[in-house]
Amino acid sequence: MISKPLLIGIIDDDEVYQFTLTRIIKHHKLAERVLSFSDGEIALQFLTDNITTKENIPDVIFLDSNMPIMNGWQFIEEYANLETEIKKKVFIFMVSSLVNPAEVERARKINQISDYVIKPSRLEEVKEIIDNLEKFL
Amino acid sequence: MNHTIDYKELYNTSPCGYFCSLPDGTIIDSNKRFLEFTNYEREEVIEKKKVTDFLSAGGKIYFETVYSQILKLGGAVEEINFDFVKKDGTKFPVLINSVEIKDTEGRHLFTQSTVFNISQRKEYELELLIAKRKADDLSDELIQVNKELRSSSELILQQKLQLEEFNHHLKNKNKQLSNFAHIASHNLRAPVTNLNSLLDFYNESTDIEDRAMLFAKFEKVIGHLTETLNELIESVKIQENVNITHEPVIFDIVFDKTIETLEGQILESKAVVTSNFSEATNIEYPKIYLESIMLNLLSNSIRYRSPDRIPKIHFCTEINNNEITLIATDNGLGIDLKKHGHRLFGLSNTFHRHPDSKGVGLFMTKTQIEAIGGSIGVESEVDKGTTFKIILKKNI
Amino acid sequence: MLKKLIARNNITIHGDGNKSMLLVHGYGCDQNMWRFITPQFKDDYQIILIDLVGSGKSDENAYDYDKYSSLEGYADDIVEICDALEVKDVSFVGHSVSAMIGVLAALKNPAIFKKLIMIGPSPRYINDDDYFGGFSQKDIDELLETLDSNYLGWSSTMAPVIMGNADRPELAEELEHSFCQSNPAIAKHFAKVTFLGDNRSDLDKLTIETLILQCSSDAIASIDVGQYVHNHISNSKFVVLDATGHCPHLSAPNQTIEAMKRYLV
Repeated sequence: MISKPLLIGIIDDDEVYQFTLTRIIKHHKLAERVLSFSDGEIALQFLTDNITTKENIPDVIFLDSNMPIMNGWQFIEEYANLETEIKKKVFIFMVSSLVNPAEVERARKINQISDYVIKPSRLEEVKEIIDNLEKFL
Repeated sequence: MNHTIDYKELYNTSPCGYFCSLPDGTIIDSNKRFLEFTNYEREEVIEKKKVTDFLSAGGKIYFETVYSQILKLGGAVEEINFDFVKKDGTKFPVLINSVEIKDTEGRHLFTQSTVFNISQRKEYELELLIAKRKADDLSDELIQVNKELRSSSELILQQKLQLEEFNHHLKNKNKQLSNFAHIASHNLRAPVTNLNSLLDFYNESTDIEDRAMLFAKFEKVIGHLTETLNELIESVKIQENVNITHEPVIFDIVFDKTIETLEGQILESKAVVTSNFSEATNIEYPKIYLESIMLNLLSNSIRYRSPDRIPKIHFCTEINNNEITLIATDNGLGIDLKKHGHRLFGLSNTFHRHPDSKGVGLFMTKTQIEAIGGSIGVESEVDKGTTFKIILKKNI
Repeated sequence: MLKKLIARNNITIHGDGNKSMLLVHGYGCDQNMWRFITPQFKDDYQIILIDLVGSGKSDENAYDYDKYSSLEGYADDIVEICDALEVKDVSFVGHSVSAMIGVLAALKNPAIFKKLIMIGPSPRYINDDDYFGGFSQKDIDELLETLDSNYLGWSSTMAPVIMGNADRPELAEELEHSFCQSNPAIAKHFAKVTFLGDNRSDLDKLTIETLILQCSSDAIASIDVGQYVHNHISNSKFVVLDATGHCPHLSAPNQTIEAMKRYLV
């Protein structure tokens, strides 16, 4: 069973997207808290700093594949090293403006990625993911 | 047994014709065999006929131009083939050998000639001649065919080269197009999605302040979108504009202009900017592209300088394999090429958390360089510096 | 340049006079044909002998079938040679076809030549309406056949020597004794150009002093033809030698020398 309320992390360099997704999540009370990071490096730093503080580790992460400094794929590589120290299941969704078949395949091979999807931008799309997390256990 | 040789009889019955002629060709004696060959009576020939009277008109020309000259120059002529004309007008082939008989003072007294009837050999020779002509024709034909083959294989080779070039061009174009499609969809889709989301919020919202805040975000997204579109349109223009005028450009002059344009930033950053274009001082190139390339490289180097040291930026040219290369080196922040190398020249990619990182400069620079048929490469080490090497074009 | 021409035309220079005389052989032979004439002019003239390209010891590789498809090609060579040797006021002596080549060269550059001596000239060998050249097309075909039959063995034995393969010295020696040999394909082409050509219209344009030497009995160029040449060259003198054949310089060298000397004085 997934514990609720959730903590959701958004790792994306698009500030407006951060804003719109956060607003949807908050308006519809899909999560208790939303954490936003504008690139993978900042997010990774945060996770490292809070590795022992379970309540600060997001339950769900929307990870943009294409970002400056450290992109989604580079983030996942680093995250894999941290995973054993994190005492909780984190559902990571690799998101992209476009579905690239090669990336779908790449994502399928990485255990840490729950799914690879087009950036959810409407309520139904976000809900669809949040409500079906059990599927990815 | 005792044989008495009758030389007169031998002369007359030998199996070949003999005749003796004066320097002007008049025949003054002949043996019987010669008369038999030609079917004439002795009195019809002796002192009445010249050697050329037994020849056809064509034979006469050969006699005068070749036979006579060889005989006069060498004193003898051998194995010349003529057709002799008989009394009844029919011809028979002969082989003739002649020697000049001279007196003790070297004066030419008369010419002795031997005539062999070679009718049977001639038939065989004719066959040989026909065969030889056929062989010659065949050989000519072969040479011709060979020539044609060679020229068509050259043509094919040329076409192959053209096709390869065309193919290369298409591949390039294709790559550009696919790059463009990727860039366009990535960079356009995200803002459009954002606009849709903002529009939903805006429609649902009743709060004036909230709406004003949303509106400000609209403006921001639209601003980005416009910028992205402009860059894309500009890059399409560069890619399409293959016929842009090339003109003689002097590196020093363009570089000075670049420094002038960025004077404020150079002063502010205290950068030491140097150059050496002595190896290649000038190039045939679109001037506006070279200006834009230098401006982008220099402003990038200033923008991504290290705060820990005085920025040093050096521009120079080199000629490698007949290609003019422009090199820009700095001691700035550097780029982690393992992480970012593959996206270095993409649209809207930045690699530094920097206030005015925009990332379009290198994309445009690459587009311009490739449109002229050149290429750009980079070497960099984090916190050491970056070197861009630009092969502008072949120096031919 | 001169070196190239010397090799191309096997140019040889004899005598130590201060005047220049260029002698050019006709069809079927080479510069050897002048051997009875030149000793008599050695003291007064610098004598230039050449082999036409394709004849004698000229450079066979220089034989360009297009260039030499008319006599103009040979005339260009004559002018080129005189220019390269920097000779002027040349007395030009041409036998047979080279008499016509001399006319063409003199039309191209009259300044080079002082006098022209034509031995047995004919501007056209084939009869034409009321012109009597002495031959028909059929006769020339016969000549070409005679050429063929006398060159049957040429390719295998003489060719290597004449082509310049001197690795068979016994053949080279043989060649020394066989005058006037040439590549049969070239000889045939040259025969066609010589005997099928028509240069009658060029005679009227010539203004240089010209001597026409003609044998009284010549099967190739008859008295009629010699007379025709004389009638069409305004500044010409016509001398008939009491000699038979087409080569008075060989059959009657003394008469020929005497007539030449009388004219050149």
